[in-house]
Amino acid sequence: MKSVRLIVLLVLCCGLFYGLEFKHGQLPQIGNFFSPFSGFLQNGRAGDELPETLNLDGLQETVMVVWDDRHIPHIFAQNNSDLYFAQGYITARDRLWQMDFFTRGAAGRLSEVLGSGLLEYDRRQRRLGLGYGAEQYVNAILADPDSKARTESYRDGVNAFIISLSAKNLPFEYKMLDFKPEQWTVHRSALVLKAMTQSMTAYNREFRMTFAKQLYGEDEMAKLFPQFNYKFEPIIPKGTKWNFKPELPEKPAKNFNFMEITRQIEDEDKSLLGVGSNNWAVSGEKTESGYPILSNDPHLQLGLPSTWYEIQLHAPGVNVYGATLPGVQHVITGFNENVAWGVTNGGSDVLDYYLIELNEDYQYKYNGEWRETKTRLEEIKIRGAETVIDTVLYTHYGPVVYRKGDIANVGDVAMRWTAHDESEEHRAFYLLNRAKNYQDYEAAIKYFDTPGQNIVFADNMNNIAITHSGKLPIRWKEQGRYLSDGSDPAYDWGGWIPREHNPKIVNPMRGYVSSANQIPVDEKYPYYLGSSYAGFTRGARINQLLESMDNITLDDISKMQLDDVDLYARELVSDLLGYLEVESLSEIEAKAVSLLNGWEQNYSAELSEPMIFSRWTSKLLPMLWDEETFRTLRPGFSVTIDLIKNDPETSYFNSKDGEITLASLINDSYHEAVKSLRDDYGDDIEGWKWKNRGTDVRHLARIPALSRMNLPTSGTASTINAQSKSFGPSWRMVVELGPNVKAKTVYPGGQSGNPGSQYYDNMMAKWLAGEQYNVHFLRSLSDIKTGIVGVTELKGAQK
Amino acid sequence: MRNSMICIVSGLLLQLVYPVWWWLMLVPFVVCFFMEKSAFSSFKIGVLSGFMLWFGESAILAFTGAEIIMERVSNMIGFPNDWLMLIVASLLMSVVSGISAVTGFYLKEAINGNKSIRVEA
Repeated sequence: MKSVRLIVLLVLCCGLFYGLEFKHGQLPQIGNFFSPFSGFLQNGRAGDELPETLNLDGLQETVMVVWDDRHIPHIFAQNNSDLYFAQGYITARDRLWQMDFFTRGAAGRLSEVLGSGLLEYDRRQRRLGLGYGAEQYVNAILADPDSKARTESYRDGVNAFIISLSAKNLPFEYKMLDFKPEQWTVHRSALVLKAMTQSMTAYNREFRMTFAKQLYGEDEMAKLFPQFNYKFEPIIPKGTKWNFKPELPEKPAKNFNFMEITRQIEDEDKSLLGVGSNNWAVSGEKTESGYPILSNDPHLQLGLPSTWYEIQLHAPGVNVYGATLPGVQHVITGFNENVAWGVTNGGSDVLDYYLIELNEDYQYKYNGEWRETKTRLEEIKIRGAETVIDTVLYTHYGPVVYRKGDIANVGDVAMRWTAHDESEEHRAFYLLNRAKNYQDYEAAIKYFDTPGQNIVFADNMNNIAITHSGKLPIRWKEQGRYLSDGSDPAYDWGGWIPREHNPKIVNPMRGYVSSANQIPVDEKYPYYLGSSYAGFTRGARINQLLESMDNITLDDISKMQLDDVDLYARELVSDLLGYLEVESLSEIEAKAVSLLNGWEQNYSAELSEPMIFSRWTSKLLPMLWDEETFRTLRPGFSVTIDLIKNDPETSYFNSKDGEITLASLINDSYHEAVKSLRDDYGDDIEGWKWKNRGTDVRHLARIPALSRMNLPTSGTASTINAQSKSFGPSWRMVVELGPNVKAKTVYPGGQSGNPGSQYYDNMMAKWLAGEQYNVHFLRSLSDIKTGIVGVTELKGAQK
Repeated sequence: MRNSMICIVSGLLLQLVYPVWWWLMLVPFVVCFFMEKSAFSSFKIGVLSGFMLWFGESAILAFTGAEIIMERVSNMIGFPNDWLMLIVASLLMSVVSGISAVTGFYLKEAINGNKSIRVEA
């Protein structure tokens, strides 16, 4: 009996040990996670306390880090090597898990830590060749001794922090998901930039466009998906003359047609479509101070830990402040004592898909001959399961991303993407951080290849400029709009647009430059750049406001970033209301109409009108462009508005028998919209506030308790304050140049990646309220002003 | 009481040197194996020392900056109150500690019992 009792107890103890020591399914390793000695309770605010001194092996001289009240580090180093070492160390101290997880995601290595559920995601990343692209980028860095030294200093700084970690002070998510950080490498820094390139350039519509062309033919495509949208206002003002006439390749006489796409394409990355970004600069002639003011609010998928890490970097030859990407040295968008710059996505097409014919020896047909492919073995390790090897074929275009049958019954598809080429964006940022004038800016951005950006610029000498930068392929008109013939050399890119031909404008007469992801140029620009740009609304609204403003102050520009007037609504609402049969409306429908009649087309969180209008158009568009025919790709808002206003009798919206008309569809959609709003929010229109749309700032690993969900934001995708359910202004910055540079910034989140820190999401409230913080931009160490809460001395380790 | 204190002090020291949760099982197991005289008092020692150590350290951290992370974790696992979460976790772990202590005691008893039979033979 006694031995039975003992055996039971021993088995129970073993069972308890097994249950508490090991990870089970999605649960963390319970014993250590809940242990106050090593678990989550160790990730409290204690980590926010600033050490006075740190001894770090790898530093050459002492580095001072001044911390301000937002936990922003101002790093003062005595040489470049120490500057980037300290940037790496300090960034990792606040964001290590984010850097690690983000680059694992880019490289297709999430299954390694999260299990087989992420296998398809990882496979997709591998096929896209993010790791391959990062390898090419590393080659470019290593080829230049200075770039190599700077990137390796950053790497060493990150690793100095990793070495200092013990199980007890690992960042929270490592404990939660039960894995350990691995050494930082130059390749992982490259992966951060490749992942950004993916989010900004990999939203190609070629499959759906090809399918649409099959259905409607080329003439209709020009009407339904025009290159130049309704009321377009390019970045470089219309009518600008270009003083070059390049020889361009001819479009092949033979059309590449195939009728194999047979079903709806769902696999393309529609999810990556964001809501767009803005930047502009106004000349001193239009400002109160007489110095230029620059604004930048890039809109990305919002996340926690925050996308950006704010920093000041000071060393001989550089004193720069702004937003950095955790994992990459240098400031990406910011200012120094002489210049300011900011970025929006350029949107020109740098990714083409090629249909290729493969034989059983994995050769592909090109120019009448069979060419060899190269193979790259992608080893996908999976937690708790066997490693999967995916063989990816590489053609001279790039990787074969889809194999026969993977997508839309098309054959094998290879990809040509500038993200796979060697490039030197790090050099562009290095030089921009140190720029003193327009010439320095011009010299810096020629190194900026991908993702092509509209880089706005202003300097202390009252120059303003904007350049549609990036390495852009030379193509014949509309090349790459549809799937390309991989066997025909005429579909290869015809080289690169010379950098001096990239669209740009310097000190225009109108006194301002701006961009909002719209098409950069009008028809007169000789090169074909692509046809997938943002509609006219944000760009036109920015120009409209800047045109009307004078004696502009920094606060005026901050306020402008919050403008939520929608020009689509301004174009459309009175036309739609005009078609409504008022006598047939119910009481609540009539009340909603009266609200829309008095609406100023602003998407304010506290108004019901934007909710009514938005719901109405979301019901109307699928009715106008009937779901069956247009399910693959529906024409955009611009084309729809153009037709409603200028061709209301169009056969797209009106049936031949007269049973379905534009008017009937507008009335039907209105009834449906009001009904669905009543179903969702009840009969009181006061409860239909736009804030109910809610914006989610989700944690990188999609852990709800670490996210901020349903935030009551204003704005929509087509307003300057561009917001959607998951996208929004990831960084708001305004800078006024002059003898004493002034700047204000804010972003949704906080400096720390630790969910237990007071700095994890401390800026969210001000971001939501549309407010910004005055930046503490220090000229030197002796320039310490108010708002500084601590100083950390980083010393080289004693030898 | 004395053995409880031994468990708490040695458990604390070991956690400081090498912080893993299973000292909570191992320490009372060993102490009760060598030093305890009854199953019931072994269980008491395990539970008491386990709770004191686990909850004590949790409370110190909770009062010195862990309140934000406590709240997030209790939200994550659906606990209505963060302090309740700490108390429940500490109670459960102290029971684990108690079971381990009793097992230690019975193991010693089994070994000693076998020895005494051999001596009698």
